[in-house]
Amino acid sequence: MIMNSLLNCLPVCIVGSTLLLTPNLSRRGLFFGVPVSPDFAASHNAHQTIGAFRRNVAVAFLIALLIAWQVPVSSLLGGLIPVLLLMAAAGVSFYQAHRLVLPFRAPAPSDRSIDLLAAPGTAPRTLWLAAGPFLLLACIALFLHSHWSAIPDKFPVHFAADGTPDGWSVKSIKGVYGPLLFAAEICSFLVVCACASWFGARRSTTRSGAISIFVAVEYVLAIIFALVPLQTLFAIPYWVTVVVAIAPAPLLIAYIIKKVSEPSGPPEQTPAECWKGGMFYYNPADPVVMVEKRTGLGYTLNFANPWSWALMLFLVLVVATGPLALP
Amino acid sequence: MPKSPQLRLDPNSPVPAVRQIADNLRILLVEGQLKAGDELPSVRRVAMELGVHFNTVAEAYRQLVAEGWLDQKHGRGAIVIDRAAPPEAESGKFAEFRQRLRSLVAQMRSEGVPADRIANELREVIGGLAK
Repeated sequence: MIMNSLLNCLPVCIVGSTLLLTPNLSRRGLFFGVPVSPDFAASHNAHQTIGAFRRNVAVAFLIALLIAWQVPVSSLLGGLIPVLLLMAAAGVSFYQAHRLVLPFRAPAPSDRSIDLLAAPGTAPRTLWLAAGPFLLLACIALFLHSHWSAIPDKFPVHFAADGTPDGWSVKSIKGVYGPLLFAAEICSFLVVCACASWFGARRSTTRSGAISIFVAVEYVLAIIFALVPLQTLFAIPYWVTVVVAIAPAPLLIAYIIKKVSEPSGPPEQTPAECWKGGMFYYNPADPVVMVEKRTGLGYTLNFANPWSWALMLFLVLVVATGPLALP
Repeated sequence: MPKSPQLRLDPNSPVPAVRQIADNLRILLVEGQLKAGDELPSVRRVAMELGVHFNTVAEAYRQLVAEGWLDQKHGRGAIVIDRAAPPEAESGKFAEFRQRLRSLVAQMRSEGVPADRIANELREVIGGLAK
């Protein structure tokens, strides 16, 4: 029972710790989604804003932990509710902090420019690495096909915190290959996002870092979903999946902190009035599909671009087909 | 190392974006910062970097193609071509240029720009022509 509750609290702890670090995950010159002067981060106002944000998130973190402790681990929705509540509370706190910082906004340079003789951008090497997870999933599928006779008629696909199976599937095309198919769908979505942030965005020094994150997440998800059907043939301890899912999180956060603290060019020039709450970009006059995020490292959608909605539809389709593909 | 030519756009300027792009490109071409054989970025890339509609950049490129500065091939960027020297402009055209220049100088002076700064700017333009 205690192990179940601890396992339930794990995602809340990861999300909560990441949210507490939000002020450290912004690029230099940006503070809660607002472009500010370089010395603003050391000011009294900045410290007060960060303090208020962290207090609010810490309270929400504690409440979410209490809820997670009480909810049975087998309930997927029950497990998600504390995380969603925590994220909603952090979103509201971020918006409040954003409003507090707005009066200190640095004047944006009025002109934009392009280097006319710069070499045309070619896809970075990391984008080619995005093919790896598909290759891995295909290899696992071939391996399972060649060992089809060795797969038991009924096999576990979900485990309780103490390692005892609590979800089962049967030997069928969907039961065995479904997780691989679903992983391929998610990986396709991530590849499309990586391509959109390269070909559908302005050039910036953070672009290749953002693509590396998409590709890294793709590998982690492919490995997690590949482990599910491999359980049918090998007694893989359940903690292996937990470690594969959780271990990359601190590495990813450390990578983002390192990248955002590196000296780089000024943040992308986008009209302040087009940022809703400092988080959502909506600019019908801007032809880009993706713009640099104002918090963290990476790209976010320009919600005024029809291709952004096509990407959102793709995501909805991936999520909606999950129950069909998974055992 | 010579500085790579930059195309600039001021989104807050009252001058339409298409005119800003065509004018600035023309300046770079006249001053020789862009030479025959240089390949300009695609319409799509310029539009994204400057945050303007694709048609705006396409129209500016079309204007310069019509003036004989650029050669544009479908699906590629525009290439600067060796422009044949245009026939000498008639005297009426020069009178119009002089009138516009004088009017522009007068406007700048009335807006408080010092005369020596205007003169420096004009000298810089003349320097560009002499290259």
